[in-house]
Amino acid sequence: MVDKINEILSEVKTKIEQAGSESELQSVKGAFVGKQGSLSMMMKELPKLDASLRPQMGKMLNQAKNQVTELIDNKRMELKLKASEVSPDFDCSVPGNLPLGGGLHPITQMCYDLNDAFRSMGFEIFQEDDITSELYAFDKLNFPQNHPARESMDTYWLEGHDSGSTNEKLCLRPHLTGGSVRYMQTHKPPYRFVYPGRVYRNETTDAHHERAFFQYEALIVDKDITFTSGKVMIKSILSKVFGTDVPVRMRSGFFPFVEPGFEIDMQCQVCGGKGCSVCKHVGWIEVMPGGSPHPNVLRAAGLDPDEYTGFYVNIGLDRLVMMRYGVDDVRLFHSADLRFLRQFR
Amino acid sequence: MKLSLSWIRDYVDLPENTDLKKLAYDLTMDTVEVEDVEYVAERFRDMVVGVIKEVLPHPNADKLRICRVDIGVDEIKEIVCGGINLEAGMRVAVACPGAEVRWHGEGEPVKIKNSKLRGVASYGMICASDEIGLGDLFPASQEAEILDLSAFDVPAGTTLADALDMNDVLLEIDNKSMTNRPDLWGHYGIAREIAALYNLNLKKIEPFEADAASDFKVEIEDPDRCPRYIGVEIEGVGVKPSPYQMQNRIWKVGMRPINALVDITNYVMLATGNPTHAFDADNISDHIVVRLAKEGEKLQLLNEKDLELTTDDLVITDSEGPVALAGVMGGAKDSILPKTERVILEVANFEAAGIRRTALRYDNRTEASARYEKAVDPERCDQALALSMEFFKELYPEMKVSGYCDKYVKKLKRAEIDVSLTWLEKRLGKHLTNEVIRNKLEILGFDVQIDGDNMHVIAPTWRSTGDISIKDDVMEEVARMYGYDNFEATSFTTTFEGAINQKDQDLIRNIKEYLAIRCGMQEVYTYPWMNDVFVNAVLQNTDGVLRLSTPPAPDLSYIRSSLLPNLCEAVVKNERYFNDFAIFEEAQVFFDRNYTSPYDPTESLPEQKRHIAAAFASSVKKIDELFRDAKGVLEYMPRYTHMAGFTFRKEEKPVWADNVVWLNIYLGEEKIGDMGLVAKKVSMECGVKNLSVMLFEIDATKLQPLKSRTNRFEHLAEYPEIDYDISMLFDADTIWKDMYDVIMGKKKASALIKKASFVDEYRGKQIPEGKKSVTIRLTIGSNEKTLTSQEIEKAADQAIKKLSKAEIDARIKDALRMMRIEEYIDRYPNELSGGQQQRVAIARAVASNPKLLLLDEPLSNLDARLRVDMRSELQRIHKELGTTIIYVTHDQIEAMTMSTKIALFKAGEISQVAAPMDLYMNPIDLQAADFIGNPRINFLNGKARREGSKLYVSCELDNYVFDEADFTGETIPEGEFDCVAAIRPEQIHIDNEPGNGRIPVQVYANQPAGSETLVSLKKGESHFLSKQIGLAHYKLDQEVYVTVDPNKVNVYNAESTRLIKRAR
Repeated sequence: MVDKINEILSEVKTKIEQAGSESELQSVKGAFVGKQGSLSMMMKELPKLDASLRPQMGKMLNQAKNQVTELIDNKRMELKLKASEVSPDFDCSVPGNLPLGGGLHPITQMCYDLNDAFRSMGFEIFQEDDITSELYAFDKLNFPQNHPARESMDTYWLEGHDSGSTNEKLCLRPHLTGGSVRYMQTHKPPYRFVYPGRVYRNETTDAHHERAFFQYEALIVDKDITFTSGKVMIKSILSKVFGTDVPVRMRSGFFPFVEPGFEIDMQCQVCGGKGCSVCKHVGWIEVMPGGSPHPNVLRAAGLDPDEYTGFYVNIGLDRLVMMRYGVDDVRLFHSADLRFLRQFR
Repeated sequence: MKLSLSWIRDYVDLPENTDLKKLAYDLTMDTVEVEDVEYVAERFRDMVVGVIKEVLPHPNADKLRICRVDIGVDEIKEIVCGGINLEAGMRVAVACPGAEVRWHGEGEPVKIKNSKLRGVASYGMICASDEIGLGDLFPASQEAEILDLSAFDVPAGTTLADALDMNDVLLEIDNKSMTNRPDLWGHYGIAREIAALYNLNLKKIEPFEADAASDFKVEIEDPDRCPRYIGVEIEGVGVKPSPYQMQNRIWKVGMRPINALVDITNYVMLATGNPTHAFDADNISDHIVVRLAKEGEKLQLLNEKDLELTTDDLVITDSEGPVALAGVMGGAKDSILPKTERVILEVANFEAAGIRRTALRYDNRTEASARYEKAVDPERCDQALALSMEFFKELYPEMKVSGYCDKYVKKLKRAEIDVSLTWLEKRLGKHLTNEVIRNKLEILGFDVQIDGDNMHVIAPTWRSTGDISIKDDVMEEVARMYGYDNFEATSFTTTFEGAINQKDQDLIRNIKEYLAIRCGMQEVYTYPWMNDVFVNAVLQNTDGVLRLSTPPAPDLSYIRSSLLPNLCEAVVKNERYFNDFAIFEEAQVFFDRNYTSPYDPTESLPEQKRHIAAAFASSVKKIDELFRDAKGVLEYMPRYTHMAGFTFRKEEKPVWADNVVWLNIYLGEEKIGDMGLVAKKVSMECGVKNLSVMLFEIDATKLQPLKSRTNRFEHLAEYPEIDYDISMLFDADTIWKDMYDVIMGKKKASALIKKASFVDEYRGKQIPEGKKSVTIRLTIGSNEKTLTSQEIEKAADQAIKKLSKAEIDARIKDALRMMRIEEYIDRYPNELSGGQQQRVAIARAVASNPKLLLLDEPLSNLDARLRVDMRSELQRIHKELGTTIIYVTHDQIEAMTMSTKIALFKAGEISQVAAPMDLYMNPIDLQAADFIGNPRINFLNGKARREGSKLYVSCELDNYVFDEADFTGETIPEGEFDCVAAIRPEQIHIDNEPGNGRIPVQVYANQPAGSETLVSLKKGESHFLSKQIGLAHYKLDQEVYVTVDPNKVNVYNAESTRLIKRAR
């Protein structure tokens, strides 16, 4: 009898061990401790046993039954914990839900990236109005009286304000630099500020030319700045935008409001400088003009050019954003087309 | 500008093995931007000179020929060609397979392949000049003319590039990069720069020595506009082609060869940068005078443009008048013609700005004016003259200089600048030795004297026309010649005085990020100009809107005073692709007013503001959802972006907004913006198809950023709070704000209600007309304990009760308003007048929501008009509250008009209870009849007698028979008895004429009262009154005829006074 009990026990253990599901466990339970189960049947045979053996056997059988029940319960818990709450054919490849969210215009994003970079270097953010006078758009920037940029074919003049002396003629600002003069006039040097804003040119538009575009001007004016400090500014901008140190070169360039003036090129990020169609096979891409503010500009701002000098760069954000994402038509920026803008969320 | 390398090599000994890529790079880095380096020979790849051996007819085509051509290979090639000038022995350009040509000189280049033409195999192609880009160099005299190269004595098979001297390299320079360098606008100038860069030898152009002695003279009237003018009169010349090499060079850099005389002047300009001009001397009368044009003078230009000159135009004149527009273009009169034999060569210098003005004035910019307007130095005339004369001698060996005059009236002064070496070093950020500095400048032609810290620099003549004028210019020269790449980046230092704190800047960014990131809206950019369609639709008025003088398009002239028109346009554009979206824009707007400038007292700028606007567009959301989307964005904006909060009011409807759905946005007492639904008319005009559009726009310049955050920490609830939703029916016009105030206002519905929030509202099916169902979420909890569900239910119940009562209260408030005592609602009774007290009392009584209300003469102290208003108001309250009101009054009109039932008292006893019309029609006894009605009822005494079911009544007016159906049930005495017939005055109709059933009576008195006329009548002893609607006139004692409907007659028992027969 004892042997039989032990035999049954070991059989039960293996079966429980092997059971892989709740239903299998149920059938094991039925087969051994259920009403017709083998242990229960043996229980029924107890009365037939010798009376002296009965208590011991009874105890053993009860223990065995309890043991089996406990094993089954344990196994059941184990199975439960192992199992998933969902059916095994749950599809994990379905796409997630799009989180609610609009987006800032890609140029705004770029502008804010740069603001953050310049703020960390102690630059203020400056903003000025879109309509300016010829005085600030050109005169104060050392543009000669007859400079072509002043013509209506290049600048949007306002009706009723398009003639007279330069302080009376009003236009949509053709660049930001006039506004920088305003900043300098109303603040004490040294200066360290950036000036993002939209500018307007009367142009025929195509994929690379727009009538309204975004510029980002950075200006530092102090007593011992050299034009070589400008390289630091330029590198900060480009590394912020492209995430890596981008080789830059400064070359001679002419703009009335700077002396010396530079065209600043960066290594073509498409070909890594080897030459490709994007960079017209020269390996470099012109990204911004820069230079030291012309002494006449500093004078216009009320500063002594013998004492102060500085460095200025002016970045076309449209162009930079186009390079960042590979956008091939500048007109998309002002299209308000959500199919375009939503790509930059 | 294109420059030929071979031409440059004329002036500088550039080593043969020069790396052109490096040359281009160095020029770009240090001087001007080289945009392209082109190997000209590439254009003629796979093209060779062929010699036609034989021309055979084409078997299948009349216009085609088969040429047997020697192209220098073993085999003679057969080429099919349609040229009209094909001849054996002719040298022709053959494009072999692989070459690229343009068919008939047009379209994209096409690659030549071996092919069959009309069934005959052809090896490549015999070319016309324009098919291989040589149309300008070898102009064809007629169509289908093949380029005849017989003049080029080269063997068959010579490459076309070799034969035509095309093994050259062109440098294409960005003109913009040298606007400030007039010295570079010619091959010699670039050669000089290259010589300096590489320290090479620059060839000198030896000056021309004139030995002509004649009376030829030139006069300059305005030395400022014309500092120098050299005139050379040359005889023995004529029009003929210039040598091929000259043509070749002129053509390569982009001009067209014309004839030897013109080509010389162009060649010299391209070489030196100094324009020159040749006049036909026979057409010049007397001598040349350079002066400003006179008022009214005219000039026909070479290009046949007729000009009316202004006094600002500099002209070359002879004794007859202007012959050329100085520095811009020659005149038609003196131009070189085939018969020209004698010329006057002009080598002159003109002032830049004047040339530019003139060229622009007549929209006539030329190669010459483009150069002069950069400010050419007058010393350059010497080179231009020398080179010109060299060519005249070479091309016309027999020529003779018959006259010469060099007027140099305003000498160029070389620019002299003192530069401190300490300053220079500081600005360069690098120490350079004096020797390096001196060398870099001298190599460019500067004279340099160094004396201690001072360096005295004298610029060369070609850099002295404005280009070099201040010490910064000198510094730039040193830096670029040293190489910008050779300066290391230097960091800059600064002192921080504190963190940068630009609240206003941060606020705008916070708002934009809030809208984009929290609210899920997309930022857009639009142009500052607006399309007229949207201006008209949205703004509807252009007062104070600024315009552009030269707008991008005629219908885009207004610049924005609001961001909304362009946002609407953006909505329309996106409707094609999206049916539910929200966009916003932050940009500047402009107003034609408040001109001022904080920067310069003489400057006046218009008012400019920064606006933020948004559009919520959807064809899937309902308008109330869209409204709540938009309003929610605004409501939470101050909190999330840390600025002073704003409020909504309804003061002034925006023109574009729907009549109902709009709000004004206020900051304190100032209006800073609007929001609302775009009116249907507006959105239709904009071209919106199915979208509903909600807009808002706020003036961001008015927004006030908070110095710091203002919200306070709240302790976390210690005991659980639960959300409990209630839904209730309200009048459709009940507003949420009032519901909220009822629950959460001063007297809270329950202290346990922490929060009440709007969930939604529903109208429509299952909701009665004029009602809406509103779901409100109550947050219920206690600070002291966990609430039992009974307590929670109770709190919610209190809210529900208070809301139900509030509905009624709202009506009471209206009643109070009607009684014109709203302002007294919180006063004590002794502070009120009797009339006010009475009115307040009514309101209070009604407000207590009683089951039964007793009002005793409630309106007695009110004036008549107020009384009438109050009557109807009380009637409404009565109906809507469902309260039973016992209303005591002596005013029978009040009783009749307001009640549902009247109890008529007489001497403390109820004599009759009836609905008002019943009471009027059938007063129960004579007293009641006498009391009710104004004017009084007519009583006519008479006799009555019942016979069976009939009652016979006779009175002085008439005799009647009534049926028992109209009896009241009152006991009718046996036999004849005294009765009273009662007839309401309005039941007695008067006619002027007798007729059937009409009873003649006499007019006793007449009382017209406008809307009615009371007529007192007499028949026998009986007087009675008739009421006629409207105005009627009767004479006293006039006989008239009356009729009475027996149905309307009441009959009373005179003794008991009780009604025995009722009226119907």
